[in-house]
Amino acid sequence: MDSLIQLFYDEANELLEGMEQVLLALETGEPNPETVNALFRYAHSFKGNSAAMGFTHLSKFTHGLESAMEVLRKEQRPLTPELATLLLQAVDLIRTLLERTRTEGDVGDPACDALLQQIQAATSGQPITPAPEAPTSNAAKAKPPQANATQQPPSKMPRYRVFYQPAPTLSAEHDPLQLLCELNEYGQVIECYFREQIPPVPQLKPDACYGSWELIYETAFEPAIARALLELAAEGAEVRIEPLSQEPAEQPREAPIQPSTPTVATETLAPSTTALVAPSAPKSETQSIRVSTEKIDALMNLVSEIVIAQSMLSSAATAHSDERIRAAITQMERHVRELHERVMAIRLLPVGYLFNRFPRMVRDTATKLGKKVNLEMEGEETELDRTLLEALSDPLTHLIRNAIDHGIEPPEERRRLGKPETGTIKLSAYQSEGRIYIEVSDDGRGIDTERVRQKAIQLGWISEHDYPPEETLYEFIFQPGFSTAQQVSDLSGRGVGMDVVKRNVESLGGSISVYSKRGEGTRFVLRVPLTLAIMDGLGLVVADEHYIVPLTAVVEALEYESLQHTALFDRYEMVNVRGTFIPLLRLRQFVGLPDTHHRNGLIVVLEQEGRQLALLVDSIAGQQQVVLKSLEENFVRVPGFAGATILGDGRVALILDVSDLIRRSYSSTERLAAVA
Amino acid sequence: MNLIGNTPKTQEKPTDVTTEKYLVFQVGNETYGVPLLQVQEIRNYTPATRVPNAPDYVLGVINLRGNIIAVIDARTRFGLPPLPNEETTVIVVAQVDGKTFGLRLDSVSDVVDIPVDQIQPTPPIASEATQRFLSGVVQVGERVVILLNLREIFDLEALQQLTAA
Repeated sequence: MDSLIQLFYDEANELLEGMEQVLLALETGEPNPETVNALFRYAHSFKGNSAAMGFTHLSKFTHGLESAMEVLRKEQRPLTPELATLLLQAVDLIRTLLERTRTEGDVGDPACDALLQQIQAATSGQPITPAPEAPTSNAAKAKPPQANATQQPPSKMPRYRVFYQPAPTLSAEHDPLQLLCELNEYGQVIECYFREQIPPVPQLKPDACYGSWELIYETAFEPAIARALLELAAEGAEVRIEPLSQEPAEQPREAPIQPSTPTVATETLAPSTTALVAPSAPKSETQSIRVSTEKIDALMNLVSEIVIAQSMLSSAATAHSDERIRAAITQMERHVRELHERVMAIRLLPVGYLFNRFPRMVRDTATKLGKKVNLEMEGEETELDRTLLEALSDPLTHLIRNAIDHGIEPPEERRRLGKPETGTIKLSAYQSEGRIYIEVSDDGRGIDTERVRQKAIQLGWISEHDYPPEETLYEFIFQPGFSTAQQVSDLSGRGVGMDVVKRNVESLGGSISVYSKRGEGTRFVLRVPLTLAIMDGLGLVVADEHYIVPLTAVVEALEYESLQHTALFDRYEMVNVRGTFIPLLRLRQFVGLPDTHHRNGLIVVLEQEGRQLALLVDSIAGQQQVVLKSLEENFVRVPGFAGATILGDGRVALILDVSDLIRRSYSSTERLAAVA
Repeated sequence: MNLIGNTPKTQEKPTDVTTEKYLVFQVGNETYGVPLLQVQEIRNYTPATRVPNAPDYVLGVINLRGNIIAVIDARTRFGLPPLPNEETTVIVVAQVDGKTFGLRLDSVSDVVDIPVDQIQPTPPIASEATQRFLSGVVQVGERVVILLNLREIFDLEALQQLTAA
């Protein structure tokens, strides 16, 4: 509960900073409608958050601000410098009140009402530049929207079907019930249907929301307002708004439970979080601070060094060492491990931080292309190293754009095909087998393998008589210079992109694969390591050299002698592992050492993306935790290697890039298949 | 920068001779120098881990306080036969374009002040491949110091192509 309050204060400060920045930017730049929109959003979020925490005075005051902004927004009037000054005062006042809530709880201030009146006067008063299309309607009339909305004859207002699925995990400051009530401020909820999807009790999570709402909603405002209300306050929520023709369309199956207000339906599922968090005044609350990533990275580096020094110390302290030294080392080992884990945890962020930038992008891109796209997201709470998160931003942006541009069909076409007009793009993240999976899927047209083949012929990659398997055709998509977009748009289809996506993902030690079905859609699966910084590795030895392979890729190790060995054309070697022939790669040969030509040695079976490789090594040096270091940072990318690490004795060992090795081995076999 | 303050602003160079500090060292029979500003540190030689498929002058990579840096052997780079490691063998750690790398040297001798206006261009007598490593030649007392261009010696672009092949 303390963490909720802390979260509230953190967010509140961010919102205030945001408001301030927007207002200050006015002094240097031109006022534009976006400014007002931004302020509206800030005020709105603040209102919602403070209401959820039970700070009624703060919530009332910010509600006033929000209404003032709504007036400006509705009439498309710019923000005047005078008003900006008043609003800055309001920010200061909020900040003062916020500070006081820490010790005094829910307190108000007489200055609030006075300032609010001034602001309202300024917004309704004489506009500096009256826009011609905005009749100087009395703002006071538009002000109390609730009364206003209900007074208007309902038949005149357009109706919408609003589908609302709250974020899977409810957080304290986002109460679906409250949001739905707020809708009534901008229009009227005519009908409200609640659909519950409650799982069996053992799977029930206390903080999850198992239910969605469907509303028939009437508003004179832009429907986008309803979306903004439902979506902005709760990230990860799913909102669909469809205009409703005046004659009642097919009725939803369920009977309406509450004809005009959605209040009761939510009570059981979403216990009003306001009650949960009483405005207690924690005396010793933990303050969270923002730390630059550089500092954390420096700390991480240092911890990695300590881990190495620690292992050097451990190996130096042998059996003859003093008992006390050994005890101290054991203790230190434990602390170092914990230190390491804690520093690692600092770097982890929920993937939602990344996902949250996409709904906006999807909407913009879809609008630009005249398509209807709904973005579904799940698994936002999956945690990922922050460097990875940032590095994934570009590849995901590209994949999503591609999905909208190439995947999802235009609405007419979808209708003709009997698909829902609105296409769906699904973004999901989950953890499995020690890796993070991120999927981007769409229900669009799928990959046209024949067109890919034609394009490959055109590019001279295959001959006209070649009919490569689907997987090979999909691989072409990731080749530089490949693009099947019929029209080159400014969004995608320039033939750069998928190869960059693949390279980016691979440079993170990850891999990407694609699954597609004609007419049903395409799914891209990105696999990345949990963290870039550390992993479990298996030491491999050839001659006196030591290499590391990620343990996640290792299937098993076998005696080379015990396996049947075949070489196609005396060149392409394979071994028979439990009845399956898999390509053999001699590590000695790969790293440029003379081959022993003995049959002793070990076969380490590696697997990635469903393909296996038998790697022949002299011996195995055991398992160890390794800190992944970049070779590129101060040197160059070395093909076949994902990076390097520092061993216990301070020496450097290179880390093998398993997907690269597998790709090399298979492409030679595939070439062979083409020849045969 | 003028500390006296009475020189007109238009004058760009101070009248006295500008000197720059250079780290000088012996490779083969001659003395070479690199700008001290580019040198980050000098450390005892530690064995490098070989990088497969890298050119022969790249000895490999070492751990520099948690960062992986490449070590280039000056003798091999200059086309001289390599020498075994001695007590005096060092790695000079330098920075070029934000990338750190090490240069393996038989030994380092000194830091000297070199008057900038006395640096002469090197006569084009070395092979084309090695000529670009040189940035000038200067007489310091009795010694002739050959000044090196570290960027060309490290030559990241060439490395990128060589390792990508």
